[in-house]
Amino acid sequence: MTDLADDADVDDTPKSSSAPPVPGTRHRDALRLLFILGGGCHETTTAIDPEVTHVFQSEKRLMAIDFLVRYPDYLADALLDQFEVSGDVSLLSAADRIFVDDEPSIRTVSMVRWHFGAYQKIETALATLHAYGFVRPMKLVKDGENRRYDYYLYPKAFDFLHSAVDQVPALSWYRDRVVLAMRVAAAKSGSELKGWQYEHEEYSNTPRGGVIPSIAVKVKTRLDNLKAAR
Amino acid sequence: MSASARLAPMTTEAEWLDSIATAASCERQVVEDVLRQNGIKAQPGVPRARQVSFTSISFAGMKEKTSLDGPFSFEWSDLEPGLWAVMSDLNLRGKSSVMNILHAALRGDFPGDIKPDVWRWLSRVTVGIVVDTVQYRVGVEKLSGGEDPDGAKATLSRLNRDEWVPLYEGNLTGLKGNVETLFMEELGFSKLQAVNDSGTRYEHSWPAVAACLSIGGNAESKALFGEIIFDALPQRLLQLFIGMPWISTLTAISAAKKLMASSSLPRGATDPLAPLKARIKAADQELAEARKKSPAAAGRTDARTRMATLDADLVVKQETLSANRTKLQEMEERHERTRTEKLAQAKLVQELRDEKDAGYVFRNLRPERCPACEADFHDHHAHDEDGSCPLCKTTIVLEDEAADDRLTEAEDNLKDITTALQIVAAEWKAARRAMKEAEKARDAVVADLSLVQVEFRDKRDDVELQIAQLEGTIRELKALVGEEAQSPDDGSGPEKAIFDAAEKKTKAIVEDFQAEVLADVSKAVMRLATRFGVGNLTDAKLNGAGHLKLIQGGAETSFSKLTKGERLRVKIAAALAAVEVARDRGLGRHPGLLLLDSPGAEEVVDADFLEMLKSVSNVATEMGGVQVIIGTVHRPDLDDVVPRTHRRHAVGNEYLF
Repeated sequence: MTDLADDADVDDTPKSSSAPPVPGTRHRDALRLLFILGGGCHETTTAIDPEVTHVFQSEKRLMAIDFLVRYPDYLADALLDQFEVSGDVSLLSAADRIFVDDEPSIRTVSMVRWHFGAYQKIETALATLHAYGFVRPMKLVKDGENRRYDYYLYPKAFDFLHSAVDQVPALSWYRDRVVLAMRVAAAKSGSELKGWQYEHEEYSNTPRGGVIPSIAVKVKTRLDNLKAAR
Repeated sequence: MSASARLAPMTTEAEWLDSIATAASCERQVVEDVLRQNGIKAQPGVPRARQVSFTSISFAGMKEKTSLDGPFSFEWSDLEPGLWAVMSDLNLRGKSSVMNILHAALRGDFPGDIKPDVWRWLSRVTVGIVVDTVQYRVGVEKLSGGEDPDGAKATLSRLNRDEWVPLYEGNLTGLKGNVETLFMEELGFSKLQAVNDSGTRYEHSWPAVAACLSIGGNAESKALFGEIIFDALPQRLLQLFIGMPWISTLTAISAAKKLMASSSLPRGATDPLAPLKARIKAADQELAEARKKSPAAAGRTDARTRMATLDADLVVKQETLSANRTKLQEMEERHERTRTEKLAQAKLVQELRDEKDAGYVFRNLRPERCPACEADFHDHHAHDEDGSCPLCKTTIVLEDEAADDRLTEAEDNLKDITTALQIVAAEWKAARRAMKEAEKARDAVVADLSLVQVEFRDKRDDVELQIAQLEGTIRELKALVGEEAQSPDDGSGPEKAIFDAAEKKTKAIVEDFQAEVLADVSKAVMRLATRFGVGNLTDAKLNGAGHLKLIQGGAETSFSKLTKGERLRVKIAAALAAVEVARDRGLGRHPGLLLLDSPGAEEVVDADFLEMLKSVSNVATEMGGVQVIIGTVHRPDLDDVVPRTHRRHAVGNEYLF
């Protein structure tokens, strides 16, 4: 795991303009978040709670990885970036698969751009995960100049994710998607991931409070060109 | 032009014949025979427009009795489509002479409008004209100082590969007829038939058409199109340029009817026309021999016939292609809309299904604490049977039964729209295939056409003109004799019924088409005339009789009532409108050539002149292949509009030649 100490969270939570949670997606959102927390954490121990075995560092990073899961077109673009560096063909075919399955149209869960980027209030989902004893949201961690929010995980969370996929195989999409997103995110801090998001003008030009638009057409063209060049 | 009119199915020759046979209550064979005997042919298609432009003009001679006596010459070559200007800073420096020589060459009519003194000075004139890719040359040679046209020698020749083949060599008077035959046939124009009150059939031909291509000078503009106002000629010329299908058929029917009416007049017992009939017979024989003598000529005539057929076919194929293209576009749009809907529905299904699956795995668990008040259920009693927190009473597990119904409904909708998409995709594919086939069919005709064009160009045939002349002679003789002499009809037989029926059917076809074209042209005339400074115009309406009705300053007026200056501007507007509308509709047959002499005269103010120039320049540059030659006094505005290489400019006191 990289050094995430510089990963400061700035509290850009929209206070008054917070949109009501989309009705009818709270279980899905909680589960997606848990897959991300489970896929992006590392082992730890803490005096606060001896039962805690893992920690996921920084809310900013959580938001950035969630963005990649929620926007398959941006993820595909990131995969192509990596492909161009490494030449690893599996990255190209993963990006291709995203378009073959029409994921940018079907799987996108839109996010709104706030002052510091794509963000969605996750208190409700975290409360659900906490209620079932999977996650313990931590208060502010101060690390020198930096402040961030971390999340502790209990072993129960990992058991639950396993059994969820066993019971409903369709849910394995979320597990696999987090694995794919981690190929892009694993070596990057939340700030680096945010920086990458802003490199897309569609993203950075989105007015505050606006829904971040798709870049599917552009990425599809890029993908086709890369495929044709091979 | 509205899409529906563009796509309106064309009446075929067979349909037309059948409808006439039904209306006239006679056999179709009879209809065919009567129409053929009277030279009435179905013309459902419009031949492809051919491109005429000047390639060069050169002349030389000797000035006499002027302040600058001595030899002179003028050379201007490499002319192409585009805007060209002959200008001088002062008047009377030779602009109009250059323009008049071009005009005379175009009509084959020398000296035409060339001023007598200039005509006297000239010893040699050569003008190059290209029709599509075929180059022609009109030449006149005479002694400088001679005014009598009889002393001049004229030539008309065509470039075959690298060799100029003479089509006509002889005196000046014969040139006109040869140039006329050449252009009418090369351009595929039918002569406009008319009959005078005494029943003689005559034709308006190339001079009438050429007159529309040349505007200005000192001539008074009497007619909106061309120079002749009777025989509804302005209207008929416009129809010719815009490319009205069936129009030459209608004209031929009207002439035949008029001829029949006059032939029913009583006639003397002896036949005073016997000698003429004998001449016709003799000419017919000569013609048959000339045709036998020249297989090359026959080949060229044959090529021309095939070209005409292919032209008509091309129009039909082009129509089919545009219909298919429109259809394909519609299918593409429908497919895209359906696909977008389908994906939106698939997204909804995914969302509902994910929530259902996630809800399922969560509901199999027991919460350890209340998500709202964080009450620990290990310490307190487990949550109540109704699924709420014993402390804060918050509902912990939401069983959303409506969600199941929503999912089922969404899945059903997705199934429906997926099927719909498959159907649309199949239709789209079929439309693509149809479009490709239509394209192939069109390309095949284009390929055939260019083959025939090459063949046509390369055929050598000196006899051809003899044949054309004989045909002309026979036509004239027959007109004199009156064709009715050959059919002892009293005007009440099947012919009258057939002509009436044919006229009615053909008129109906033409009128629909015409209304639209006239509206388009009226609009363009109104717009252009206003820009050229014809003040206070609020409405312009070109009617079926070829009259331009205008509302100017609230009062009704017409072309003929305008001032001389206004008429000139409206005439230029009408000429440009004809080119514009013809090109827009893709069916037009305007040869794309305009000669404008002194369009800035007649009190046209600078600003209006500039507007006029801009519009002319637009027509010349934006519509491919159009050539406009302007003769004018130099004005600074010209410098921005006419490229330097496209100008001949007599500066200061200089003369153009």
